Amino acid sequence: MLALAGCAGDSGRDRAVSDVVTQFYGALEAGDGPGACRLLAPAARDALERDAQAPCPEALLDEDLPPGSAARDTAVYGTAAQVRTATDTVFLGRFDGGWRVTAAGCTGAGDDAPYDCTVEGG
Amino acid sequence: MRRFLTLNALGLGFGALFLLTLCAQAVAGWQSFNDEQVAAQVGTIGLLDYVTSTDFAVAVAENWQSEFLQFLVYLVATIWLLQQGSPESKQLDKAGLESDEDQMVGAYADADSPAWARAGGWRRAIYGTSLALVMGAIFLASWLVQSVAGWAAYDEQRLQDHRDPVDWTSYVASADFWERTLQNWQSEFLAVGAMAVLSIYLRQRGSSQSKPLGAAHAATGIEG
Repeated sequence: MLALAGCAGDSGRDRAVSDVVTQFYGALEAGDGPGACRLLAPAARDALERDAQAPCPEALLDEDLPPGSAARDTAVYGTAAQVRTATDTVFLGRFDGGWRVTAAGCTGAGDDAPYDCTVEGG
Repeated sequence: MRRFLTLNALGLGFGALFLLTLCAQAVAGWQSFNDEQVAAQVGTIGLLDYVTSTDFAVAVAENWQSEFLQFLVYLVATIWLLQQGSPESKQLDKAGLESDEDQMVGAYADADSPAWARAGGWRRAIYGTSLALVMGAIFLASWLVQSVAGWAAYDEQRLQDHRDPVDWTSYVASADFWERTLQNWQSEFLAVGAMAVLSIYLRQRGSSQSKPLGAAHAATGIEG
């Protein structure tokens, strides 16, 4: 039944999702803008470039994203996931190339509203 | 073989229709799911992924539960509720569980009666409600699957909207769960009620679900 829910017992999938978040923040901390941009969902990348009027690698490194830390809690449902770290809440989507970040630098908006995210799209 | 097909045409025919329409639903649902994914600017999935997804499971289960509930309610309600003129109703003096003689149990069973109808005690009691028990069990199992699959599909949507997921207990108290449930229940009850009433006045020649064309509108409990 839990397998049907797609929400528990699949540690491989949880690890795949949290690994993407670890790689994303690892690239940012290393100043690897292109590497971090490759882990963004296309819509998030497009929105970032449009808002910043700059290429993704440059715009992403300029964003005020929190420092990376280990994943504390991972929720995966179908093609969408959420990873909480000590410093951030990150949303991801599943694409042909694997899991990609659809929103990062997210803080709760309260009243069950969508999170406010520094980078988001898709 | 031909004789087997003739003797089992109703079950086989509806079994085949079920499989065909389930496959068609899978393809249509897959296209619809991916269309919504494209609109949300997130990734699309393959057909195999879709048929093992919670989105497909909830779409199937929410209809199954309501169909089995419909038959369960109808099965039990028609013990006591009558409808004058309807072939769906028992005769007007037969409301209730009926006598052992009417039900051909115990001393009134004949040589071809099922063994548990000839028996007494718990076996007759269980056999006497076995159809409702199985229909009820399938209904509850389907409804449970709907709640779990619907919960996961709901949380998938919430994560796409960058909202926190909810737990199962919150989901079964949510508007989404009850909207999915009640939209199916109301349509089933409408269809059953319409059949019970329309069949008083309207006929389908040759159908077991209709009175004979020449039967009086007031004639109750007569099937073609």
